[in-house]
Amino acid sequence: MYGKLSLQQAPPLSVPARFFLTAPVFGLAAALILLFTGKDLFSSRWTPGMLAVTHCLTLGFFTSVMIGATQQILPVLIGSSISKPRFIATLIHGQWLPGVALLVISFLHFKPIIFIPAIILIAGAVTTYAGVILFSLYKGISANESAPGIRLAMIALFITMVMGILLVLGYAGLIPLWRPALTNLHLSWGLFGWIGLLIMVVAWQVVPMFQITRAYPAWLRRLTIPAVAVLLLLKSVLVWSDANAVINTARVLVDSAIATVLLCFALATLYLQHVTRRKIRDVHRDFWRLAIFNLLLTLCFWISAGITGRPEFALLTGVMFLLGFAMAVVTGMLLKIVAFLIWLHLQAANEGLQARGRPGYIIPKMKRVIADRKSNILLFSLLLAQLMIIGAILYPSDLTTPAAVAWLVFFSLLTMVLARASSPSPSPPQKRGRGKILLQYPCGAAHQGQALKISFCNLPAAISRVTITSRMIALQPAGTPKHEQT
Amino acid sequence: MTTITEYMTGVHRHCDEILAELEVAVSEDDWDKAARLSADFLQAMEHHLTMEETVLFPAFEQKTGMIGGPTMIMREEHRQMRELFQQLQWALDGKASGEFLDTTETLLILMQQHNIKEEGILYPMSDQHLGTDAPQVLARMQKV
Repeated sequence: MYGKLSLQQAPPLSVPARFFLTAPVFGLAAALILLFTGKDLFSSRWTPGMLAVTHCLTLGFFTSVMIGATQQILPVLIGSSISKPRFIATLIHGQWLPGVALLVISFLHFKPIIFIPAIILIAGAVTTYAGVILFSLYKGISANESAPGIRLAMIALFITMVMGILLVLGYAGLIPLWRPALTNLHLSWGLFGWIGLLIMVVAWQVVPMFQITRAYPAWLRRLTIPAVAVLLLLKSVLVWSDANAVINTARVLVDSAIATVLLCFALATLYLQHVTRRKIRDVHRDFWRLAIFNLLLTLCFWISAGITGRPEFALLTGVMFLLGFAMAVVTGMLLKIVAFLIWLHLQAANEGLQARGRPGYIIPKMKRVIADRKSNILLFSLLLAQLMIIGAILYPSDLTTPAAVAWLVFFSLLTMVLARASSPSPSPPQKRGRGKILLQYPCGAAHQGQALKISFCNLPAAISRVTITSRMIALQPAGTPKHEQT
Repeated sequence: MTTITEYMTGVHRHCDEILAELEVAVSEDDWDKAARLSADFLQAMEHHLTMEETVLFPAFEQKTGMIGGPTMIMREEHRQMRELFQQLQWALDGKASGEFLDTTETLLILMQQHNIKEEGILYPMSDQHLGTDAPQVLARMQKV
């Protein structure tokens, strides 16, 4: 039963890294489309620009990051690793990237001829990904409570994609276009079943882990997954039913129940963060806090949309869920995960050097891979961009361009921070703690009996340079650092 | 009756809590308190790792025949943690708060992903495979 048990730390860095590094590029593309399409973008849910921007973000950014992260986290959670991880990642990424790019181009230019290769590539990537993860979950040996949630999220992603394909075929004029019923369902499964559910079940693991809080309440963990499944199924049935008083009431009740699930998650997270024992300031926690406030704001917009029926509130609901809630969670997690993975990778490389009798180095730790200062700048840039997009929806003629610029700045910064983290290079000394400290570090067989004094200020130069390509991350030994003093 | 999973999970939480308090002390530049908590933390961690390496892992390996598998990975991660313990001590000696908190941040993530694997997989497997021997193994661990 346990024959295939694998407790390895992680798949090769290149597996998640390719998804993490290409994701912000789609964010940049979305901001550029917003910039050039201008205020017309918000005039309707169906404008080409709106469809292109939405899919740039949901598929190109969020789903990309989530595909990379699940491949990373699954072996840790359930003790079953994906076999041939590099090949699988290449297969998924190789279809995903051009597929999403073609889909966005076809939305922008309305070229039915491009829709077909786009959906073939996306379908190939999603089927491979969901298939591999579901198989891995099936083989997994740990009864981790998040596993059924990840399974449901995979199914939701697949269903969202099938509905998306039907909509695209309808959009291209090949089959009838079931709008808005199928679009609304596509949105519900995608936002709530895929993005929302995955964030919630991953939070059950990472919030207690990274922020040293208590566990999420048992009842919440027990009820969330079946509740999401039942509510999505109910929604799927009700959306096709003819509107009458009973059906309308049922729809409002289902929506209220979905809002309640999200509200319980938001309040539980805030409470756990409030009573955490890790009282030091942590940028990662601030990203989560921002995300949760945005989720509460999303619910307020949703209620306002229901009461007033005004389209801008409906738009704000979707926008704040994605760009407010999900964006803050995903960015915060991305910064933390990337910093840790780079550290782990350098650590392994360093051990490799030492095993070959070369001097070892003190590896730059997480805050040196991605400094808190950079994370703070990203947090404020995100907050500003979020405020601007709310403004742009309410006052499109005045604030659309500034909002597009704000998002362009945010995604540019994110791209730079992640790219730089992946290739640490000599950087100017930073003031850390109180003054400069010198450390004694015994450095492997070549220096046995001696101790190297390495100034922390020069560590980035001491460490080997890492180069990253879309395929692999190779470490080039930098030789003996010049600044060492024996 | 306490299982290995319950007992060891409790030890993990205890270590997490000391680490959290230690970070607060360092961020407030309370180095006396930090030195005390750091000693507590390192002692608790070392005791925990030793319990696993000298009693639990050998018992697990003997019962399952899995030598060089999961326990080898766990030992490898213990070694990585000990390297960070060493750097934590250096940062404490140098009263370098930035360096200290960078080390605890990295250590925290390393420890937590390690703990998830142990609590979710290795400990439950130990309880299951050791069966009636589990209480005796636990008693030996507690004597370390």
